[in-house]
Amino acid sequence: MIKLSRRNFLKGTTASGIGLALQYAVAPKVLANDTYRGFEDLYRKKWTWDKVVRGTHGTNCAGTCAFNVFVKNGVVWREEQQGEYEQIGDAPDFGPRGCQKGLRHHKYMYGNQRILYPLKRIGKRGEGKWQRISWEQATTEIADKFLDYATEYSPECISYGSGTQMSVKMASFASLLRFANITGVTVPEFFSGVGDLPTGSYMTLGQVYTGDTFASVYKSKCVLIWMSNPAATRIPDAHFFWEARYNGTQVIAISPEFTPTAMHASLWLNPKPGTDSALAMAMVEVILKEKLYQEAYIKEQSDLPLLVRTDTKEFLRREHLSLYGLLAVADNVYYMWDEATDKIVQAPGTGRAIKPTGRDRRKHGTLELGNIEPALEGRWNIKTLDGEIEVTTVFELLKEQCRDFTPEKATEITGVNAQVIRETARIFATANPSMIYAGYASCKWLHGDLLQRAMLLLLALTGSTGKEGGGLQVANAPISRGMNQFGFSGIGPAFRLISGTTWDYDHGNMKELTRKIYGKKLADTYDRYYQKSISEDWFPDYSKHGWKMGIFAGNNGANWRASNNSWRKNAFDELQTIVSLAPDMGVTSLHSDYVLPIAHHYERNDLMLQSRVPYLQVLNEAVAPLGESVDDWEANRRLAEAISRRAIERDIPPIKDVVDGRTVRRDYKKTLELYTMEGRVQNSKDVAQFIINTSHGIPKITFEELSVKGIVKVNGVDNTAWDNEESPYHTEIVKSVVDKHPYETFTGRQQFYIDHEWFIEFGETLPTYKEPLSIEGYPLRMMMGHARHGIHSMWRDDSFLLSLQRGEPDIYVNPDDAEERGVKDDDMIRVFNSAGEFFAMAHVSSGIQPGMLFMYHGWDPKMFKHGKNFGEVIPTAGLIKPTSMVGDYGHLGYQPLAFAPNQTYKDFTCNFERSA
Amino acid sequence: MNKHSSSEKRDQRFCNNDLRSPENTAILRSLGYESFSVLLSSPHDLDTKNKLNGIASTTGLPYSLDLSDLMNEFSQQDLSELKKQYSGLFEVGNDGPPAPIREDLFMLQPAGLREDLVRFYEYFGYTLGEKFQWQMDHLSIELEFMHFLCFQEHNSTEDRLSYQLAQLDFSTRHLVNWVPDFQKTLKRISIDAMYTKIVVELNKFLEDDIEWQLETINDP
Repeated sequence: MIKLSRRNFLKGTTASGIGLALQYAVAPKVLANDTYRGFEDLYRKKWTWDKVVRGTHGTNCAGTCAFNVFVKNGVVWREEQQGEYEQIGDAPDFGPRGCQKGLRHHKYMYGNQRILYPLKRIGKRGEGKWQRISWEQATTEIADKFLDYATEYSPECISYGSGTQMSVKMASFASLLRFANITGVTVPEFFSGVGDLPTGSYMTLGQVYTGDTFASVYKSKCVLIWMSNPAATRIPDAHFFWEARYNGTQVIAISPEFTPTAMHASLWLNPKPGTDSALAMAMVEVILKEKLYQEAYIKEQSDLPLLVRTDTKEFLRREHLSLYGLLAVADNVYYMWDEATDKIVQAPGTGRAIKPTGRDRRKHGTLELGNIEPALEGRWNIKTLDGEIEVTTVFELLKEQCRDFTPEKATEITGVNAQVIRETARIFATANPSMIYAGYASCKWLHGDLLQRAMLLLLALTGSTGKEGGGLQVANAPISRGMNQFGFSGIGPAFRLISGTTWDYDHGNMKELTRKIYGKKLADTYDRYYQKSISEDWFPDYSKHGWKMGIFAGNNGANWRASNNSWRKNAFDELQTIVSLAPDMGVTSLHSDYVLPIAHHYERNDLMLQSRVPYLQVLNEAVAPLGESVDDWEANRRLAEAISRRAIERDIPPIKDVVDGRTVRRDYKKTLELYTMEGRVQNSKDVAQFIINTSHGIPKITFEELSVKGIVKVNGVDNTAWDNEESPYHTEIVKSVVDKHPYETFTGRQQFYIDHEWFIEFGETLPTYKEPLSIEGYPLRMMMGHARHGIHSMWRDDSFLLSLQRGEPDIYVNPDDAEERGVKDDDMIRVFNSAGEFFAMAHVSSGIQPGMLFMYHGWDPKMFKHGKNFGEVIPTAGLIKPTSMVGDYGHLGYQPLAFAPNQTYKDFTCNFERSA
Repeated sequence: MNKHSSSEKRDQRFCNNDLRSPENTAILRSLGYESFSVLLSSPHDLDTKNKLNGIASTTGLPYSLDLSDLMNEFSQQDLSELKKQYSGLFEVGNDGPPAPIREDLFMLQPAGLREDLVRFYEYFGYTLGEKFQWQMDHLSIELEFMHFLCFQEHNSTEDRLSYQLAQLDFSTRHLVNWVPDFQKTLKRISIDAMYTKIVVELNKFLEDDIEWQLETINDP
């Protein structure tokens, strides 16, 4: 074959008189090969890579798995696990990390679902008719609408919804934070919004961030994997459980359905759905009755020895004893009965300034008992300003409460054999340390707070909280100092952050939904407490100006919400303008007016730091963003530019914006200037570098260096627990246990007794069991969980991953329930209740209890018949628990990302039938 | 077991140039492929209409191909309407584009397809510009590659057979493998669309061309 050079190639193109006109190709840079005689010749040369780049997937699986990304001709062809993690201490190491989703991404990023260009809706919302437009047209039109709403009403009526996809990418989230801070838009936070906020943990410990590294599992002697399925959902880390088991750890799975995790566990307990608190309380009963508790630990660390008035159910406080106490602004002096002196004494660690946080706590007393010998049991009469009254200990009240939860009684509720409950309690109590690895599902029940309080009670009684290999492992998070600094730098905080749950309640007519499904009495009761909380200023009210415009980034918010059909109808579709920033088409984008294309995982520069993996992980721009997509920083920059430009062109004067009582001057002409820090920040690499430089616990490294390494171990990691203040994680609980710093609770201790009047009214002063809500006439409880083959809605529609499942949404049903309804495996069934219906394939499985259904989550509505998914039958978004909206009670009051009501997802029932 | 190895079969492949008459047909076929490549390029990315004006007539091909009506009709289309139609059919939709114009997507991303394309392109020195590298499976690009191969067949003096065999293999392994179904899909979802008309014509052209190629090449 003729060898082409650039010279004779160009000559050739004109030889015929008719030119070779190439639209896509450049003149050949590489000479043609040898003679071609068949396609085999194409494959004789070894395939080579132009480069191999470090990277990962910016999803909220908390994996942050180090990958090598292989690039040729500007295309990603494959990825492999990097696997260069060192061993920390004597625990197994973290590598290699990865799963089938990540290994499929090189295909998915080029898939059908990809959004490549700015789109403007030209049909009805959801109809799928789009016009491709330029970025300039899109941002100009969006900016004009933004300015209209912000100036006519308030920027408060514009939401910028950040999902978990966004929040885990540090530079992206910092960009959003800065944009929101400058413009004044409201950010409905997703932590409570998706029902993931461990409110029970906050009530008890004053902390939601109690988790350690994943390797801490290996250090436990007994792990209860409760409402979690790490074998399927934490694929890179599940090995820690199995390695621990080989090391002698009892790994006990607790779940109503037989999960992939349960099949590898030492023991599996299958309580009926929603009865877990009864199981936990029965274990507490066994530990108390058999005196298996760690007395010294609970006397020092918990409120169990604190005195409570038996007449009012209130803690005995200084205000009850002296006029001085009566005058105190916030009385947080509590008492114990000292057996050494046989009289009441002030409990150590109490009486400090209200809510000292973080390192400041050390200035405010100690939990050390000194010579005090607190009584756990007994009743005493003491003189108070109200006369002589009887007091007893929280411990005594707990014992009384537990009489309702003997293992036999718990068997009636949970279906778990009483002897199994006893044995499990004994194993747990004697293991030392014991751990409860609880999934976020524990937060999604209406009474999930009670379950978490009961879990923490088990851990306190066994002296396990705050010890390496022990404690409640739900969450931790990087102390986000660098991200906050970026968001506020040069302008200060002027930021609206609201619980996604209350935002939806206010704007989605959720009270009406609750009334329709659960009855007027419940709806009115809950709403009365809700409104009281707002009127008392315990929780902020950002509903005054309505909701005009929604910007959704990094999330498929119209998919994951409870009651998503109701929300779409009453809130989402009522919006005047909807803008979605997304890499892939999902139901949120489908209903949007404008869709802006966002770069995927291998097309952007960013950082990730997750709570259980002690490594900072890089995302590198291995290839240029596909089509006209850009990363989140750049998308926000273009929006900021358009807002500034249009504000100048329209000569819009600065507005006075009142945020939480403070007046903020917002000059939209300066939006771009402020966003880019007067041009000093040019791109997401600059943002990432800012975060590295200003964050606590992150090694000081250049982004370029990190790009080459891929991962770098964070500071202060000597073992598996987050107990070193040099680390970027919350260490407060360990500091309380080891250094005796009072907890950030009202009592300064692990607080199991809450005497706020609402807790007394609802009978929830102590952990207890409350039956989950049902819908009358519908017998089956539907459970859901994270999927093996997707991370939330990401990758759920990938053709290859679908081929590893049943190819379409399926729902697990018990064989007896199926037979009763004439349903066979693979049949299409209609799942329904008074809220709605959806259709899915029946997956008949003996791993499912009678009386329940189970479905892995994340399936987008577009994948279902009639475009309706499971959200149709989940009518729980209006179930806002009153006790999670209390205030004026020490640590209990609105704290974004710490104390807010969770969106409820679990408290409903349904039925199914064979579909025609 | 087959006694003939694949290398023996390769060696038996040859072209009947008397029948094929490459000096007469190659450049015209090249123009045919170029025409369709331009017609099916994205009106958002390239100046399609202007490009079309520069394409000469394809009269004289060994089979019937008259694009004059199609080109006339295309040139009379409103550009913004073309853009809408192109996006609506090929780029966006509830479940992805109704008719993806990229082979890999249309064929549901089978293993090895894109690699095969890149190996063809690399082997023959057809190097995509950076902007288009990721969509090496775009129909318009595949057609341009055929345009390129035909043109090289015309210009080649030493090893014309390489380009002739590559055309047959590329057509068989790619274009003919998916365009017939692609045109069926388009006819089903939007029979009157300009782009449907183009792809229907393209399909006819590909059918005729592959039949003619097979007549001129001995392929045991």
